[in-house]
Amino acid sequence: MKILRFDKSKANLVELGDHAYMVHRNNAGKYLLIRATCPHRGGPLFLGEILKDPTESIRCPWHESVASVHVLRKKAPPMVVNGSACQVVVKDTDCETSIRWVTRLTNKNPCRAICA
Amino acid sequence: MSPFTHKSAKHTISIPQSFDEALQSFVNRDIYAASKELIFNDNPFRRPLLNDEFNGWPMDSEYTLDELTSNESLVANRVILSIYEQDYVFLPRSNLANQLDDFKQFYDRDARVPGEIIACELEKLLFSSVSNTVHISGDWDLKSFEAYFEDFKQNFRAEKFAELMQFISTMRDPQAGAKMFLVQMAGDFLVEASAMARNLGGNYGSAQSELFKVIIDECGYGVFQTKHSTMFESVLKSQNLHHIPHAYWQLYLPTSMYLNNYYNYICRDHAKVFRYFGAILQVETAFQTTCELMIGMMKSVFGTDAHVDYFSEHVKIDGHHSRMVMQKIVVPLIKTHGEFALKEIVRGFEESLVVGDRFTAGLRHQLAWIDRMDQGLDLRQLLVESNNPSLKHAAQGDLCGTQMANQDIGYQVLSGSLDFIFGVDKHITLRAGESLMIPQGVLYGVSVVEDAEYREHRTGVVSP
Repeated sequence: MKILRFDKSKANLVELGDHAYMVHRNNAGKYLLIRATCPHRGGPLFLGEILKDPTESIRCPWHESVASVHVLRKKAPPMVVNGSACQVVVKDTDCETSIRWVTRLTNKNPCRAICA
Repeated sequence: MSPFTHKSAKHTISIPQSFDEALQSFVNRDIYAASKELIFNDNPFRRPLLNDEFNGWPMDSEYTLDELTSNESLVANRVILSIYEQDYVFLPRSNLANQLDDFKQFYDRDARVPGEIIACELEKLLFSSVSNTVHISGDWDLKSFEAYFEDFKQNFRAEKFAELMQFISTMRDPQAGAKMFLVQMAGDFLVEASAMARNLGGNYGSAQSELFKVIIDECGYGVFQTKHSTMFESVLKSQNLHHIPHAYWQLYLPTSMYLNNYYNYICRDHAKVFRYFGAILQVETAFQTTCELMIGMMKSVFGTDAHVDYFSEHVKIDGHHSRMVMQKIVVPLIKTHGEFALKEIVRGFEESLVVGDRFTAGLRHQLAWIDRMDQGLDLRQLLVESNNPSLKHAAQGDLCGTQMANQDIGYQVLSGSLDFIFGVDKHITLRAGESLMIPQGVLYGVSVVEDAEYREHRTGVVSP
């Protein structure tokens, strides 16, 4: 296992092998690591729209499927956030990892789904 | 209908009907009143709580971590520490008869109910921000926790604390800095392991016995001279500092008391017991590194013969304690109690780092100001005048109690003389015609040397 460290004001997308995860701020203001790809066809949820409803869901931009944050957070790697410092525990030491900042191309502001 | 009938009025329990009523009921004791004494030698009960600058607390709110240096935070930390420490036994080293009234006031049963009401509110005000700073998510299991812990152990360098120790060593008056540091630690180290001992009661399996082993060491395995608090007393004595708990109550920074209060908070509320085990794992693991840094600072400041037994003992024993807490307490608890326990342990581990950083930052800010006093600049000419200064009078002998500057505050002495206190033996005397600007977030006290008339200027950003 290894630990990835990053500052959530500088990075919000974590790629572990073939899987991508994003830092998401939920309705309660808590920062979570959740899957960044849609369970439907693998669409980019970091470009999605956070629905302002109590179910805490994200609408995928590809097919408008709605994915629940509750589902997306399941099986996500362990993460602890302390202030802006994030630590992610990567269970597969051999997998390729990358950390980066992603935004909507049509929007200069950071994507709403990846609150920093 | 109440199941209790009172045969006489003296058995009636008075229940405060509001927070304000509870606060008044609690603080309205001589031991908590403002005092002309700066140092309380051999009296652990005397604790001035409110001060003239206290503006009340915003209820249903919470302080951000940055607001912990406000005067209201200072008062909140003083009050809640006094409530928490009613659970501990304090005795002076001389005959109690000299302080029997203070003793009775401190342990007064009538202060219990108001104290609980106050503590519930102040805990929300003070500790919500720590909780809101740490977020835990994902699919944690024992293996991932072990990897997270191992990574901490390998990479922890205590950078901010190391910088503080380096700063003290290079201050213009390093001994003043080191003594102020020891005074800030004294609030915790002189009652060492008391908060931890709150978790000894009850019945929760083998972890309970393992914690007891750690406490045996903390208490010097029955030998008073090796009890950790006794060893810290020796450090204080070696620098001619008072060694009775809370002698320097008036000089405690809010961020220093906050560290102490946090441990009382998580140890007193047993719903947070796993959080406590995470916190103590972090502390026992990090303390080896920080104690080595403290030894370096002590020897640099006081010479190679400096009394450092307290710190060197921790360098040795905390390696064992870290291992014992991890292998004998934390891992078995996670195996038995699963996800809830694990995430609470991670939370306590991280929260402990947050309160430790606050301690470091608060003291660093105070010492930076103290160091400025020795820069060779004449601070007595510094003043940013405001439009509406208030004219004040003070009588010789008064000590206005220590307080935090919620904003930059300027003092301009028109007649007489005022002494401004910022630390152990660190003060500036202002005479007629002299001025001083005290920066926001600095602890200070004012002692009136001769009857004085002065102007007070308030500028800058006001803290809540």
